[in-house]
Amino acid sequence: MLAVLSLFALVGALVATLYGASSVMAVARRATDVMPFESGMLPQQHAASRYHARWYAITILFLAFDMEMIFMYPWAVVLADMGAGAVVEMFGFLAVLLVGVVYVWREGALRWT
Amino acid sequence: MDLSRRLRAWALARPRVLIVDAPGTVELRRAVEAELDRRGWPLAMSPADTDVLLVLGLPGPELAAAIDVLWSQIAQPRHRVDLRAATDLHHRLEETVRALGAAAPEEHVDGAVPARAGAGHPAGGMDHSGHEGMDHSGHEGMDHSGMAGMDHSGMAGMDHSGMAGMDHSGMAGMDHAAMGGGGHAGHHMHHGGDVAGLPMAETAPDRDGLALDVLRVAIGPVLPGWPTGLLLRADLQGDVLTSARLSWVDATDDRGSPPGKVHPQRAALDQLASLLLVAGWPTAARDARCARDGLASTDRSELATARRRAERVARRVRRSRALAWTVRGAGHLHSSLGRTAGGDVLDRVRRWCDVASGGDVEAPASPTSLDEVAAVLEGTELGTARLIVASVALDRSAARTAPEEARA
Amino acid sequence: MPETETAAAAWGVVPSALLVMGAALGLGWLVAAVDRVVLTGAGAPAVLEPVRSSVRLLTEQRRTTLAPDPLLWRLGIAAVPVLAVLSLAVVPIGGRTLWSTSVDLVWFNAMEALLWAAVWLVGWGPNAVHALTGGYRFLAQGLAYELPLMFSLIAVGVGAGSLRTADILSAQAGLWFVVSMPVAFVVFLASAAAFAFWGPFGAPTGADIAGGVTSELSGVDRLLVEAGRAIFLGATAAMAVALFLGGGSGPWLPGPVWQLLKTVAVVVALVWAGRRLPVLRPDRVVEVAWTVLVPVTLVQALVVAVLLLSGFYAV
Repeated sequence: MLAVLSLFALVGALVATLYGASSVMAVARRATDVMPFESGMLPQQHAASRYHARWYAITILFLAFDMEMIFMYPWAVVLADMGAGAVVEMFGFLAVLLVGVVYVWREGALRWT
Repeated sequence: MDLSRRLRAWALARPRVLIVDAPGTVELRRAVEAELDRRGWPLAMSPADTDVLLVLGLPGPELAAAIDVLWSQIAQPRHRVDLRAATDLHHRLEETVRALGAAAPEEHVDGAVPARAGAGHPAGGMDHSGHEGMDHSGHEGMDHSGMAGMDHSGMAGMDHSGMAGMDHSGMAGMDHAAMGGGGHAGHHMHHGGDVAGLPMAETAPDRDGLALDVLRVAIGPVLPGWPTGLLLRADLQGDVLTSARLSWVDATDDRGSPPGKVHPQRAALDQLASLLLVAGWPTAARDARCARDGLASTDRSELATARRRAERVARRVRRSRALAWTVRGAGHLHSSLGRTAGGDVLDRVRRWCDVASGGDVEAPASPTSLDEVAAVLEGTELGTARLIVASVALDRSAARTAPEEARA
Repeated sequence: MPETETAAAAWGVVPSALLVMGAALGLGWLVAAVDRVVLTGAGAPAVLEPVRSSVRLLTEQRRTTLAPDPLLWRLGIAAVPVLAVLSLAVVPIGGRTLWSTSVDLVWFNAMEALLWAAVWLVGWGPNAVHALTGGYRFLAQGLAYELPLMFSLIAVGVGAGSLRTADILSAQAGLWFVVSMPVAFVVFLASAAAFAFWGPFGAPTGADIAGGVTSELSGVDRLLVEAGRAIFLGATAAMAVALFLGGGSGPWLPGPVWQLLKTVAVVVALVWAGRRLPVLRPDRVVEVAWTVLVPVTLVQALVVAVLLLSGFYAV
């Protein structure tokens, strides 16, 4: 734990040093305040809008699998002790989830353009 | 601080370059790109990435305004070069490196006045881009709302948002130049939602009929791999373009393609180079540029090498399954010109490849009007739209034969 | 099975943390240099270019945009290199990892998953349309690569019967895992390119959106993001050597040399192969990832599980 904390401190120090070095070495110290790049035009509206992510259906599917990973990591460790039963159970469970993938795919949610 | 200056000079010996080519500078641009490739100077993706702004030829007033905006967005150290001819290219680039390395901070940028609208230039430049923004977005906004009303007659509220957009953007552009970015806090216009002098995005129905944010954006006139001067105004819902409209900036400027013979193979390689850049395939794009430049040579052995190189890159692109897989099905043009201009992006890419490898085939014809291209951009994702535009040979005469309704 | 002590225990905390830091910078430089050579075709002199670019970015002015989200923006920028270096804590360097827990693979996976937030924040921060689009492209891409990546990590974990890097290394004493898990190996490297948003998975920084998440970054901000993604790619190549290519095992030469040689080879192969492809658009990749890669990596995990139960891996 101490080791990874010291690594964290070290890389944090490096980032801080780089910012420090940049403020010493940079041609102009203060950041230039510009309009966001919009290919040569001035932006007409703030870009930080509610972005229409049309793949939101996939995120739900993803969450289901992501939760499943919580079980799968410990499963990988104890598999040798548990034997064939554990394999059947895990892949049975995954098969159920894969039915969901097939359904989502058939509904066309995996393709949004 | 001799050491730090030398360090900076060394660091800036291979600056990143943003090229803005005014109409009628095709050969100059190719010569510049060849020289940059030879020197290993990378092409910049955006002003934030830029050290050198290279302006080729004489930009018209609207493009000049865009260049002012771009210049204001470039961080220091920066250097602008205006090139009219390729004759002293080598010398000018050497000079650029020297100027960049020796650059002292520009004081007026460091002050409280933000570089909002062309701060690199004195008041003149600022006014200029301000007016530009006002005129332009005002007009565009206006005819946009007209169009929206026509196209989607079922959708009430579209009209209104179009109008609001017009007011907003007009005012915003003006007010930035006028205030010089001084104090945007406390500034309030008659529309409620302004933050820092710009309105927030509006709401409009998406293709499923749900009310979602739409952002009015301009794609162009200056982007990597984009025909300089082409301006796409659209509403962006997420990354989907709607109400797409294409026009040329400085539309009255008719220095399109210069008179004289066009080398079809070089033109095809040029087209492929920018398409491959947009498709995110920089190594193939470099090969295409290299072959294109070699074909201009008068030396026989060099010419033969360039021909082989052109064939190789064309074959590689043509056979790429990954490219076919990503671009297939996008941008079906139903052209009145028949088969050579029609088809999807993949068909056109393959046709360009045939021409690029020196085959005796007709190049894909230019679409007769920008509206025809704009129509296929409707409802496409941003990246797809870029590929579609990069796959057609647009020339400035397209706008003149079928002028968009606003300018007619 | 704690027969290998950690680097921190063997060489002291500070020296080994410095060693990891040095390895991170070295890997980042290696990736950037090889990438540069492949991109420009310039040959040997290009290996200095990453250093030159770094100094150039350090001397360049920084930018802020109109009404940005400064806090989250800077946080995202700093997080990219920090996460990249932290992921190296469980990658063996010279045969030892800096840190060793029973869940090393999960740590590596977690650092890369936090990158979702970091990259999205870099895109969200500047209030610019191209950057925002790039940030969301990264999330969409994440939905595609994350599960195949996890399943290939699971395959390794199953094969070794442990999630500890040291155990995985010792489990490959007889046979490298790449032999029984070729699919997991390829998917792992492809995912490396995907979460470093590089090469064929570079859509979040695509030229079609003017550099995407990096389109508003200049100066040291750009340096941190670019360095972070290069270190991530290098760290994943080093991890791939440990997970699939037996780490430092090999005849005649000492272990660290083998490990270095293998890492360089993986980086060169990855960069060379990656630059032969155009950008694969996330919207098309997602479908293939779910309909092809997820089932294929699951079958891979199943095969490994069956092999394990039949006593193929001498654990």
